Amino acid sequence: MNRCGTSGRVLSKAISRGNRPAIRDGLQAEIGRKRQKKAQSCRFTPVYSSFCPRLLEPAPVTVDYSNSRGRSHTSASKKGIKLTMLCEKCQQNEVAVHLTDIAAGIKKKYQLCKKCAEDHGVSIQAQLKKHKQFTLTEFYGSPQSQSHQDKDQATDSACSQCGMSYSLFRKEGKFGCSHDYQTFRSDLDELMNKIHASSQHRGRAPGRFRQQVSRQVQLDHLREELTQAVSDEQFEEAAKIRDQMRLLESHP
Amino acid sequence: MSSDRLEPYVGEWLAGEGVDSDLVISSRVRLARNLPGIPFSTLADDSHRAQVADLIGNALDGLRPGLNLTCKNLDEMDPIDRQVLLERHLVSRELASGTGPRLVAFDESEAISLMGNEEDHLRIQVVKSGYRLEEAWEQMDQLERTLDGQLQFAFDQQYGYLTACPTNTGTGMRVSVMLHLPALVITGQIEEVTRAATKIHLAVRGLFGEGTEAQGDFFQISNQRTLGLSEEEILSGIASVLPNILSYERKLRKELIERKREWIEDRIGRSFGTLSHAKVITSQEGLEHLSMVRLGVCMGILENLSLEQVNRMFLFSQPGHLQANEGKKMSSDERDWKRAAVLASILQEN
Repeated sequence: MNRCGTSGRVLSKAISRGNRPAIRDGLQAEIGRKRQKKAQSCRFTPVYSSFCPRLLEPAPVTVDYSNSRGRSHTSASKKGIKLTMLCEKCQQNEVAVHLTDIAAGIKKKYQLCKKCAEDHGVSIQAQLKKHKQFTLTEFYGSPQSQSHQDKDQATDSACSQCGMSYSLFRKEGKFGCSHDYQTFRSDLDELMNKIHASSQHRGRAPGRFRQQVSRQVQLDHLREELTQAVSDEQFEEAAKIRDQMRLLESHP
Repeated sequence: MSSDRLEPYVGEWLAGEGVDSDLVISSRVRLARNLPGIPFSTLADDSHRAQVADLIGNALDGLRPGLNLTCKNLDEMDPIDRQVLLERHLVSRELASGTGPRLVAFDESEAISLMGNEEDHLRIQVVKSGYRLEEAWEQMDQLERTLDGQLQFAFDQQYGYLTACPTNTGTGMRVSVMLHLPALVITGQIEEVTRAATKIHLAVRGLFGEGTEAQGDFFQISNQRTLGLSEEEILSGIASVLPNILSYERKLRKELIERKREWIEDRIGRSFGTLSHAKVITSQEGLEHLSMVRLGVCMGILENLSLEQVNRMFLFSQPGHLQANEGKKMSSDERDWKRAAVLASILQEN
């Protein structure tokens, strides 16, 4: 049994959400075939961080199956043999990535070389870079997927009034000025939902906004009532509520 | 502020009055507001801070007809005086340790304070002794409406009041109660309370709020969510959980008296003895003994002391107050000597 220690942490998040099932199925099928050919004796027990359970790092210790097949990793280490573990997929290159994928409560582990990992959308450099920029992410939740991060970098616009960029805001955890809310609006709903479980203000408003906010609050309230009436099959009541909503919306 | 301001007077919030004041030391409501078009503290330079200070300073005039406000620029104050303001909860740690023009304005009773150039441009707080959140909110409501007529606050229909930190966005409202819960600590039940509070999105913090550890069995419970809830819903969130915590603490105090009377009387007596006769007392030790003495007063074990006296000991034994009373900077050792003398002298008033 080889215990990887803190460096044995793995990340499956690197697989973008969109193609995850396809990747998983492909990997499973391919690895299943390889496994039938070569029974592997080495088993890794990753130590998960309680804070972020899935992190990606290069494999710290590897086993060379050509020299020590079937031998326990510990005993090989003691004899000072350089151990190399081959990629489960191509069976040619050294393992560079421990990948753990958890889907529908089932955890699967893969040992991949850098090339095979990259072929499946896992970039080591991007992941390491991402974990170095962990300040606000630590507080607000799990790291974003690779595709999401790429999107951030592509659309990292800066506030026209204070110059604050979204990536700097995520790093510092504080806005630069009130106009930032307008600049970063498309990304803020998710963040606000994580912090407050809501992205819509329901409290008081300054005098100049009071009438508009009051109408919005009434509309929200009616919308909830409408949903309830429909689910209770009270269609007559639902029609009345709908008319009330139309009336409110038509008088700005 | 100078040391002569520190007559044997404590702010209204430490008067030891109000509902449940044996367990609830104070109730506080705070609002965060910002001015559009001026960078937040993250990016502001001194010229921006001066601009904010001017705007807020002028707006305070609108409050003056009803309030006798003392207004100070922390940048021009002695560090000891800033520490005094912090210990009186009139300014936050961030404002006390900041740079550039920073304003504080407070009324005679020290129940109302307004901070300019904190993390947000304006922070308004109302503190009341005991469990009086509704009363504090009513006063805050009036204050904020008056200021809304003087200043244009940054607001968005979706996100509400726009604040420097997204954890304050929305209402910008933080409601907190400072509690003394020694029986829950003694019986090891406090973690259960903390866990339960966290589950319903309330934060449990130390004496001076965010980032501070609980000391001397004093805890601050506050709302975490500020967006998606109305001000009244935030207040009722605290109001719904507080009676349970208070009745739990009361029940445990009763059990302590019924089942461990001698043990608890001994602990309280020892603390009283230490505070009466010790020559050197550290800040942490002082808080721990004051907690037991406060428990003794509330349980009727120490009959000749009042809550007001205990609260005064609590305030005047803090580092800033000790130094302000001496009128000079003191080393930690000197403060420990002075603290013992101050505590003993208040106890000897009876």
